[in-house]
Amino acid sequence: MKTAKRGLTGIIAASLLLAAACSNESGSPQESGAGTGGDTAGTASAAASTAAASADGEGIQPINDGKPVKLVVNLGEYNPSLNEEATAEQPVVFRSTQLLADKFMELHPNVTIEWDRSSPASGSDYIEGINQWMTPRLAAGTAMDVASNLAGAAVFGNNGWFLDLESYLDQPNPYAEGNGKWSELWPDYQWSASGVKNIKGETLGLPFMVSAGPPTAYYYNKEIFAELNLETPKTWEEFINVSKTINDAGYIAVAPFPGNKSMDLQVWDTQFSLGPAFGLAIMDEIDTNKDGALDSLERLQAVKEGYYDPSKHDNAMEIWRQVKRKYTEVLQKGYESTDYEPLWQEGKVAMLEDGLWRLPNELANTKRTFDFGMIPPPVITKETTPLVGDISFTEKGPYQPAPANYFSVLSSSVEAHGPGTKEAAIAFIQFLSVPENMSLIVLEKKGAVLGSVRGVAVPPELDDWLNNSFPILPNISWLPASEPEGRKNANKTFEQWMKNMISDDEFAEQLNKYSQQDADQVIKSQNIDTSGWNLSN
Amino acid sequence: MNKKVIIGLLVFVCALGAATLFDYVRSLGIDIELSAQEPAVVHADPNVPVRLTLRVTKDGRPVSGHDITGLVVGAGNLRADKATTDADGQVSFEYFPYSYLKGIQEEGRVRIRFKDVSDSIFVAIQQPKDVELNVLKPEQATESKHNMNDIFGE
Repeated sequence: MKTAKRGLTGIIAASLLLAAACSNESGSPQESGAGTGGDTAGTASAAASTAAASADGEGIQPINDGKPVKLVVNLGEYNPSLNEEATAEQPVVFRSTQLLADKFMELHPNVTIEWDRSSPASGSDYIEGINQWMTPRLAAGTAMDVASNLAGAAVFGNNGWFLDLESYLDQPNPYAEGNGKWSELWPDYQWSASGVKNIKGETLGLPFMVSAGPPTAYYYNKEIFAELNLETPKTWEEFINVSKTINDAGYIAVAPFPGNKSMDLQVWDTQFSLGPAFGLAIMDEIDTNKDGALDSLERLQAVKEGYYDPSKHDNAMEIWRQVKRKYTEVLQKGYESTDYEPLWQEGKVAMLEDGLWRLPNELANTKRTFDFGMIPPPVITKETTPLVGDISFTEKGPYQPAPANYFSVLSSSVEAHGPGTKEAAIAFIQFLSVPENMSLIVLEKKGAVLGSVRGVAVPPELDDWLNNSFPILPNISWLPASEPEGRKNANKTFEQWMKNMISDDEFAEQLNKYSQQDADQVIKSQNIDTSGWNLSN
Repeated sequence: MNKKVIIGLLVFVCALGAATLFDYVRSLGIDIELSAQEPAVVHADPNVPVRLTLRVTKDGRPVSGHDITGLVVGAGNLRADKATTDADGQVSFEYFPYSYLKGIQEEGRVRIRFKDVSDSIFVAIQQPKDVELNVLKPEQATESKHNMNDIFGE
């Protein structure tokens, strides 16, 4: 028995050795756990020399008198990847922000930049996800110091999370050449963007990247359009009609973006195809400071004065009818549970709704056998309804694209993380906003975004897209409710109406109710003076 | 331990070992060679793909109908990661290089690993063939025809 056991052991051992010797798999690629905590920036790369700064550091002051500072940064999708080379397991490599961090640390050897790689839990409510992610971390003092994935002042600007950056913008940026004030790096129109200032007028977000026009597009199958002899749609009505023709021909006209499958008042149709055009029609009434954009305070006033009330104004109901039109006349039955990716690959989808961030992957998608193009979201015009403004189009190229994200400094974090942290946070953002530095990031993103400051390079991957004609639209949103609770309630009633569970009148009444409650909450919490508002409208 | 179980395990292990040895020896007979590359010079430009033609033989004779897989170790993509040899034992792959980006993705070597996955009978043992490409900077920089001033409307 003992001999048999020894024999068995020996044979097993020999077999394993033989199998190992015969194995010719390549060594495992460098495994780098993504993790959700922080990790310290790596060593400087020779390529970091391409990053700009005042060449010999002239004019740049030491941070915290040269004493050690740790700065925690979360740039979301712009965080550097852990792997420096593409592998089968980790094909995505993003290194420009690491190079820039290394260069910054060369200029300030006492500063250590640590990347925070945490993110909100994925789910249908993006805003609620951020709220749940950040609130406990801010309370515990474990949040990042600098972030670019919190939407600036647009959503959480009234929560006391962010540092007011106004005073810093009036000073020169020592890392960039030829500026008397840091604010001069950005074109003027961006200061009206919703993520820059809160209700009180505090500057809480500095534009980081801008969308290359609207941030979303319809990727279209050129072969289907050629086969059916169709022009790509430029207007909402053309879009509806073309979609019907494509559906009738047996193809899938439109594959919605997964996030737009849930009923939300802020589906992309509202944001990019419909809202600005409906808003343009009433711009004279609601743009009280006449700057051509609707800021947070003006939006709030418009809500309280009833401009978004569907029970009182036809246009405020018509916008939702048009959203419903797409979901009932264009999208196929069962869209909620259909995975459109394989159908797109197979050439069965004519128009795929997605963000510009998809472009680099789509360009690298060598398995797609058909040629694709991209068009901006078709905008609604008077061809559909007289209740919208007059829309004009550029000859080519987008018009004053909106910021896609914003740098913010978390005020409680920089206070809690010791002296010099605030100074380092401002300095790092100044460094990243230098045109040559921002260009590195933009070019590595391969067409997903453009840079927000003057002089940033334009990625060549966007040339075809930028040759499109784009609608000229004001910086205005059609947003009946802005706070998480208000949005949740309003979306619920919207879903019930979209599914025909409640009537038009019920929907209008409930939407206005939640909208007013939402506005009242903001007015009370921010102590806003409404004495000059026309609340009887 | 029960004698029958021990004998059963011994038989299994012996069979596994024999199968492994058998497929290993078989794999030694497979040869994958790069027979053609077009263009010969590879630039870091995804708009100029590289066609790699391989010839697969077994014991010196071309093999038909064998599945060959390709895996890029590094940057860039293959159009298809698997293809089948024709009657002459030939198979082609199309490699799309990465974009040149100064300071981020510069000149370098890319390795593509090919394997014949059809030959093993019992245990998947495949001799790899690595093709190394020297990727050079494009002769002309690709720059956009647009600039931010136009886009900003200034």
